[in-house]
Amino acid sequence: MTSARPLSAEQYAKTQGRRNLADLPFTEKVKCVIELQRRLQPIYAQRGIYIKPWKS
Amino acid sequence: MKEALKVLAELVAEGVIEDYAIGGAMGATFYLEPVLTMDLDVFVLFKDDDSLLPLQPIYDALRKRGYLPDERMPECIDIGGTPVQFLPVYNDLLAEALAHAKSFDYDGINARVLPAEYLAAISVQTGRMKDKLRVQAFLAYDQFDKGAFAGICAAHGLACPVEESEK
Repeated sequence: MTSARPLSAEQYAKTQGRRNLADLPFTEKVKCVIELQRRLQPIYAQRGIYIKPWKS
Repeated sequence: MKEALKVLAELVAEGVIEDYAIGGAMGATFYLEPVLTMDLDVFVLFKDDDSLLPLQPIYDALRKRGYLPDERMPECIDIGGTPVQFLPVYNDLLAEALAHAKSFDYDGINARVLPAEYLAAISVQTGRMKDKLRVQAFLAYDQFDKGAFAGICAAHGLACPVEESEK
Protein backbone atom coordinates (compact mmCIF):
# COMPACT_ATOMS: atom_id res chain seq x y z
CA MET A 1 0.00 0.00 0.00
CA THR A 2 1.44 3.35 -1.00
CA SER A 3 1.41 6.20 1.50
CA ALA A 4 -0.40 9.41 0.62
CA ARG A 5 1.79 12.29 -0.53
CA PRO A 6 1.67 15.36 1.71
CA LEU A 7 -0.21 18.33 0.29
CA SER A 8 1.83 21.05 -1.39
CA ALA A 9 1.50 24.59 -0.02
CA GLU A 10 -0.81 25.51 -2.93
CA GLN A 11 -3.00 22.43 -2.45
CA TYR A 12 -3.19 23.06 1.28
CA ALA A 13 -4.16 26.71 0.74
CA LYS A 14 -6.91 25.67 -1.69
CA THR A 15 -8.25 23.00 0.68
CA GLN A 16 -8.13 25.42 3.58
CA GLY A 17 -9.87 28.08 1.48
CA ARG A 18 -12.72 25.65 0.75
CA ARG A 19 -13.01 24.82 4.45
CA ASN A 20 -13.08 28.51 5.34
CA LEU A 21 -15.90 29.05 2.84
CA ALA A 22 -17.80 26.04 4.23
CA ASP A 23 -17.46 27.47 7.75
CA LEU A 24 -19.05 30.83 6.86
CA PRO A 25 -22.46 31.61 8.39
CA PHE A 26 -25.31 30.76 6.01
CA THR A 27 -26.21 34.43 5.53
CA GLU A 28 -22.66 35.06 4.25
CA LYS A 29 -22.85 31.99 2.00
CA VAL A 30 -26.05 33.34 0.43
CA LYS A 31 -24.17 36.59 -0.29
CA CYS A 32 -21.44 34.49 -1.98
CA VAL A 33 -24.05 32.70 -4.14
CA ILE A 34 -25.55 36.05 -5.20
CA GLU A 35 -22.05 37.39 -5.99
CA LEU A 36 -21.39 34.28 -8.12
CA GLN A 37 -24.67 34.92 -9.98
CA ARG A 38 -23.70 38.59 -10.56
CA ARG A 39 -20.22 37.71 -11.84
CA LEU A 40 -21.41 34.93 -14.13
CA GLN A 41 -24.41 36.86 -15.49
CA PRO A 42 -22.47 38.54 -18.39
CA ILE A 43 -20.64 35.30 -19.26
CA TYR A 44 -23.86 33.29 -19.42
CA ALA A 45 -25.59 36.13 -21.32
CA GLN A 46 -23.01 35.76 -24.11
CA ARG A 47 -24.15 32.15 -24.44
CA GLY A 48 -27.79 33.23 -24.52
CA ILE A 49 -28.48 31.98 -21.00
CA TYR A 50 -30.19 34.49 -18.75
CA ILE A 51 -29.35 34.58 -15.05
CA LYS A 52 -31.21 36.87 -12.70
CA PRO A 53 -29.18 37.46 -9.54
CA TRP A 54 -31.28 37.09 -6.42
CA LYS A 55 -32.17 39.96 -4.16
CA SER A 56 -30.47 39.44 -0.80
CA MET B 1 -34.00 34.93 0.23
CA LYS B 2 -35.21 36.32 3.51
CA GLU B 3 -38.65 37.08 2.08
CA ALA B 4 -38.87 33.55 0.62
CA LEU B 5 -38.10 31.98 4.00
CA LYS B 6 -40.63 34.26 5.70
CA VAL B 7 -43.33 33.24 3.21
CA LEU B 8 -42.48 29.53 3.64
CA ALA B 9 -42.93 29.87 7.41
CA GLU B 10 -46.28 31.60 6.81
CA LEU B 11 -47.45 28.77 4.52
CA VAL B 12 -46.76 26.28 7.32
CA ALA B 13 -48.46 28.48 9.92
CA GLU B 14 -51.54 28.82 7.69
CA GLY B 15 -51.70 25.05 7.09
CA VAL B 16 -51.18 25.31 3.32
CA ILE B 17 -48.28 22.88 3.75
CA GLU B 18 -47.50 20.60 6.66
CA ASP B 19 -43.73 21.02 6.53
CA TYR B 20 -40.94 22.01 4.18
CA ALA B 21 -37.17 21.81 3.92
CA ILE B 22 -34.58 23.36 1.65
CA GLY B 23 -32.72 20.85 -0.51
CA GLY B 24 -30.68 20.92 -3.70
CA ALA B 25 -27.69 23.21 -4.10
CA MET B 26 -28.79 25.67 -1.42
CA GLY B 27 -29.38 22.84 1.03
CA ALA B 28 -25.85 21.61 0.33
CA THR B 29 -24.53 25.18 0.63
CA PHE B 30 -25.79 25.21 4.21
CA TYR B 31 -23.05 22.64 5.01
CA LEU B 32 -20.48 23.06 2.24
CA GLU B 33 -18.81 25.89 0.35
CA PRO B 34 -21.22 28.07 -1.67
CA VAL B 35 -21.92 26.96 -5.25
CA LEU B 36 -23.69 28.64 -8.12
CA THR B 37 -27.39 27.93 -8.32
CA MET B 38 -30.29 29.72 -9.96
CA ASP B 39 -33.17 28.61 -7.75
CA LEU B 40 -34.11 27.58 -4.23
CA ASP B 41 -35.34 23.97 -4.16
CA VAL B 42 -37.95 23.43 -1.48
CA PHE B 43 -39.38 20.00 -0.68
CA VAL B 44 -42.88 20.21 0.71
CA LEU B 45 -45.10 17.83 2.64
CA PHE B 46 -48.87 18.10 2.48
CA LYS B 47 -51.56 17.02 4.91
CA ASP B 48 -53.59 15.73 1.95
CA ASP B 49 -51.15 13.90 -0.31
CA ASP B 50 -53.79 12.21 -2.50
CA SER B 51 -54.33 15.23 -4.72
CA LEU B 52 -53.46 14.97 -8.40
CA LEU B 53 -52.28 18.59 -8.27
CA PRO B 54 -50.46 18.70 -4.93
CA LEU B 55 -48.72 22.03 -5.59
CA GLN B 56 -51.88 23.91 -6.56
CA PRO B 57 -52.72 25.10 -2.99
CA ILE B 58 -49.22 26.63 -2.74
CA TYR B 59 -49.55 28.41 -6.07
CA ASP B 60 -53.01 29.68 -5.11
CA ALA B 61 -51.76 30.98 -1.74
CA LEU B 62 -48.76 32.67 -3.35
CA ARG B 63 -50.82 34.21 -6.15
CA LYS B 64 -53.06 35.81 -3.51
CA ARG B 65 -49.92 37.41 -2.08
CA GLY B 66 -48.91 38.68 -5.52
CA TYR B 67 -46.13 36.13 -6.15
CA LEU B 68 -46.16 34.84 -9.72
CA PRO B 69 -44.09 32.37 -11.79
CA ASP B 70 -40.58 33.57 -12.62
CA GLU B 71 -40.38 35.04 -16.14
CA ARG B 72 -37.37 32.96 -17.20
CA MET B 73 -37.94 29.90 -15.03
CA PRO B 74 -41.71 29.31 -15.07
CA GLU B 75 -41.32 26.20 -12.92
CA CYS B 76 -40.31 28.57 -10.10
CA ILE B 77 -42.26 31.21 -8.21
CA ASP B 78 -40.48 34.52 -7.79
CA ILE B 79 -40.69 35.34 -4.08
CA GLY B 80 -39.06 38.66 -3.37
CA GLY B 81 -36.46 38.21 -6.11
CA THR B 82 -35.62 34.57 -5.34
CA PRO B 83 -36.94 31.89 -7.74
CA VAL B 84 -38.37 29.14 -5.52
CA GLN B 85 -39.07 25.70 -6.96
CA PHE B 86 -41.55 23.67 -4.92
CA LEU B 87 -41.12 19.91 -5.13
CA PRO B 88 -43.59 17.49 -3.53
CA VAL B 89 -42.12 14.67 -1.45
CA TYR B 90 -42.32 11.87 -3.99
CA ASN B 91 -40.64 8.88 -2.35
CA ASP B 92 -39.81 7.29 1.01
CA LEU B 93 -36.26 8.69 1.11
CA LEU B 94 -37.52 12.27 0.77
CA ALA B 95 -40.27 11.69 3.34
CA GLU B 96 -37.69 10.37 5.83
CA ALA B 97 -35.31 13.24 5.01
CA LEU B 98 -38.03 15.81 5.62
CA ALA B 99 -38.93 14.15 8.94
CA HIS B 100 -35.30 14.73 10.02
CA ALA B 101 -35.05 18.32 8.70
CA LYS B 102 -33.12 20.77 10.85
CA SER B 103 -34.27 24.23 11.87
CA PHE B 104 -31.88 27.17 11.73
CA ASP B 105 -32.02 30.88 12.15
CA TYR B 106 -31.60 33.01 9.04
CA ASP B 107 -31.47 36.67 9.96
CA GLY B 108 -34.20 36.26 12.58
CA ILE B 109 -36.36 33.88 10.53
CA ASN B 110 -36.71 30.18 11.32
CA ALA B 111 -35.86 28.08 8.28
CA ARG B 112 -35.74 24.33 7.64
CA VAL B 113 -33.01 22.47 5.78
CA LEU B 114 -32.49 18.77 5.01
CA PRO B 115 -29.67 17.05 6.97
CA ALA B 116 -26.33 16.66 5.17
CA GLU B 117 -26.46 12.84 5.20
CA TYR B 118 -29.91 12.83 3.57
CA LEU B 119 -28.89 15.46 1.00
CA ALA B 120 -25.99 13.19 0.04
CA ALA B 121 -28.26 10.12 -0.15
CA ILE B 122 -30.73 12.04 -2.34
CA SER B 123 -27.78 12.98 -4.58
CA VAL B 124 -26.83 9.29 -4.86
CA GLN B 125 -30.41 8.47 -5.81
CA THR B 126 -30.63 11.28 -8.37
CA GLY B 127 -27.29 10.30 -9.84
CA ARG B 128 -26.53 13.18 -12.24
CA MET B 129 -22.92 14.27 -12.67
CA LYS B 130 -23.39 17.32 -10.43
CA ASP B 131 -24.98 15.05 -7.80
CA LYS B 132 -21.96 12.72 -7.86
CA LEU B 133 -19.66 15.72 -7.35
CA ARG B 134 -21.85 16.87 -4.48
CA VAL B 135 -21.60 13.45 -2.80
CA GLN B 136 -17.80 13.66 -3.00
CA ALA B 137 -17.90 17.14 -1.45
CA PHE B 138 -20.03 15.80 1.42
CA LEU B 139 -17.65 12.88 1.98
CA ALA B 140 -14.81 15.39 2.41
CA TYR B 141 -16.86 17.49 4.85
CA ASP B 142 -15.46 17.19 8.40
CA GLN B 143 -18.77 16.93 10.22
CA PHE B 144 -20.38 14.49 7.78
CA ASP B 145 -21.55 11.29 9.49
CA LYS B 146 -20.44 8.60 7.03
CA GLY B 147 -21.96 5.84 9.16
CA ALA B 148 -25.39 7.49 9.13
CA PHE B 149 -25.06 8.12 5.39
CA ALA B 150 -24.17 4.45 4.77
CA GLY B 151 -27.17 3.42 6.87
CA ILE B 152 -29.54 5.64 4.88
CA CYS B 153 -28.16 4.28 1.59
CA ALA B 154 -28.56 0.68 2.78
CA ALA B 155 -32.13 1.29 3.99
CA HIS B 156 -33.14 2.69 0.61
CA GLY B 157 -31.24 0.24 -1.59
CA LEU B 158 -28.68 2.76 -2.82
CA ALA B 159 -25.08 1.92 -3.74
CA CYS B 160 -23.10 3.62 -0.98
CA PRO B 161 -20.02 5.50 -2.27
CA VAL B 162 -18.41 5.33 1.22
CA GLU B 163 -17.95 1.58 0.91
CA GLU B 164 -16.73 2.01 -2.66
CA SER B 165 -14.14 4.65 -1.74
CA GLU B 166 -12.78 2.58 1.17
CA LYS B 167 -12.27 -0.65 -0.78
